[in-house]
Amino acid sequence: MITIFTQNLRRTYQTTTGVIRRRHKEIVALDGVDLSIQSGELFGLLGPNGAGKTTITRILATVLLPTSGMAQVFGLDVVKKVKEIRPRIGLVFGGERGLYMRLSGRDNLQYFADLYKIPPEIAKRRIPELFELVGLADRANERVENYSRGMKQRLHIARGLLHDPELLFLDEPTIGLDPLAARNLREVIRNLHQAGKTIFLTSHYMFEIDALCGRVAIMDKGHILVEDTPSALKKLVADLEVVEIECFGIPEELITKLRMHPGVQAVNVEPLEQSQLLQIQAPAGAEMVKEFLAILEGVPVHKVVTRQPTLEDAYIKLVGGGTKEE
Amino acid sequence: MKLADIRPTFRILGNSIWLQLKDNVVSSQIVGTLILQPVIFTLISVGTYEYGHRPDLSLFAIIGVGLISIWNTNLFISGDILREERRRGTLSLVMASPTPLLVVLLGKSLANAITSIIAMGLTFMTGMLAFQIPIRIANPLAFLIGLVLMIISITCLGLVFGTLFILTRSAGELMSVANYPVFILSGLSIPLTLLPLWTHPFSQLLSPTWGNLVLNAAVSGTEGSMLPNYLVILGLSVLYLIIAHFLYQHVEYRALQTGTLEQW
Repeated sequence: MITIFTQNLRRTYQTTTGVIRRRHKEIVALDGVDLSIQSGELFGLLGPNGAGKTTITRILATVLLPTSGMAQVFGLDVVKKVKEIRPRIGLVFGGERGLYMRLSGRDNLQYFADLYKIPPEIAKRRIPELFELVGLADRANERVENYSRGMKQRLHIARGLLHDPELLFLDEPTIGLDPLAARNLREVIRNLHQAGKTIFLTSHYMFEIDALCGRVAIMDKGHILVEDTPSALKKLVADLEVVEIECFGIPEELITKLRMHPGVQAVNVEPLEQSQLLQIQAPAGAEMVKEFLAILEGVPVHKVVTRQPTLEDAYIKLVGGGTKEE
Repeated sequence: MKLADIRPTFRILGNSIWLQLKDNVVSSQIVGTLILQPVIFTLISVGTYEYGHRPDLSLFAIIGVGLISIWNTNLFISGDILREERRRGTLSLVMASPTPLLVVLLGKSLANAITSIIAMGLTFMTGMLAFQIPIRIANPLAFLIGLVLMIISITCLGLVFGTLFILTRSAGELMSVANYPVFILSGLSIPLTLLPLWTHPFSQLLSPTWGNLVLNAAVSGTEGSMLPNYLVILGLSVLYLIIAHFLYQHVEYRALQTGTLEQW
């Protein structure tokens, strides 16, 4: 059964610049998005910042209207059937916002339980169960302002699950978490999927999508670039190898030179604490390391590694490579 | 609304009141609107009449300032509720729930109105302590009924403005614009007879005008039935609720269309 269906979904925003001569500008956040997600799927949506992931999540969760096109959840139109959709979905955003900081974790859940019209006898049983599920049972009565970021995020998940929704939207749920907290949260997500929930997960962490999702769509600038299983997407770069070069202070013109070099498929620059990591995709077995080092002559190089491509490399190839914003 | 929805709606109404009362206890803004402002307004307002040799109007000034404080508290904290909900990122989550945001706002506004009774008490106390004005309420029951009706009615009036605040992050500026016309047109700061004639129809549509009449009559012990005035206050409150309901339908659609729920 299809749970989420979109066709030619488009969303634009109007902005204005100037004070006296006001100029109106249209920003396209989503541009003709087609999606079809089956019941029980853990579907991942990958993309850089500004790709349109949050916009599509908000439209499907009925808190934003599309400009044009169609979006259905459980076969119901997200514009016309809002009242029918809302009780059946859970919405979780990443980050620290979305909670009442001066209230305890338990008060937060109690409040949202009322908002979702959960009968008190069910809420009384369900709230402690959810605190157990997300590992916050011993901190439930503390004010949320005293929680760590990871704890707040787990409370978000508990809030999203209060009314036992059939479909859960998780918009970058692990953003800003330390590795241990993120791993715990991924475990919670995996368990929810095993319990039969349909999950729509957005992230810009490739390994997260790779580890969790059965199917993934990669989007950039409001478009879906590709949609398939993580293993099928990895095949897009199966004939490539990745040369990683850690160097210090590489000039922009040399990066351009590397991108233009024959055989190079994509170049990504990952800023590290004091250095930069160049990830160059080149045909497997072409042994181009010497050529790359020749281009980088004069630039201090710390380390060179050649490795097999991952889903992240498929993503870099699809969105064109470049300097990551994070 | 279906019958099955009534119990949960009352539960969320009660919970919203409780939550807002808890929040008000630790809010710093409450000190300004609920404590400082009524005291300062009473000192200026009553002082003007006392030193202008019109002590007969002092009690009128005290009741007026009390109602202004109830209105101010309701308007300012209601605007602040939405600003806070935006800042916390909870506005869209509350909106995504099956409970209409209007019910949540009604509960929170009611909590603010309940809190604002303190302001009414403070104006009476300031009048007594600073100007030795003897406060004797000739008809306490009529006063109490009038006060309760005013709290309900001002909550409903505040809801009309609160609904508009959903659309904008500039609720603070809108609050200031909405504040003065209401208490001036209601005759709370200066007697209605001093206002130009063309303003009178507007005054009649504002329930604080009628609340002011009722409370002054209850304090001075004016003869005659209060019932017609009570009914006008109730009728206007229902009208405000209807306006807020229809406004909310439009405002919710507009907020979802413009995508402004997360802006703050």
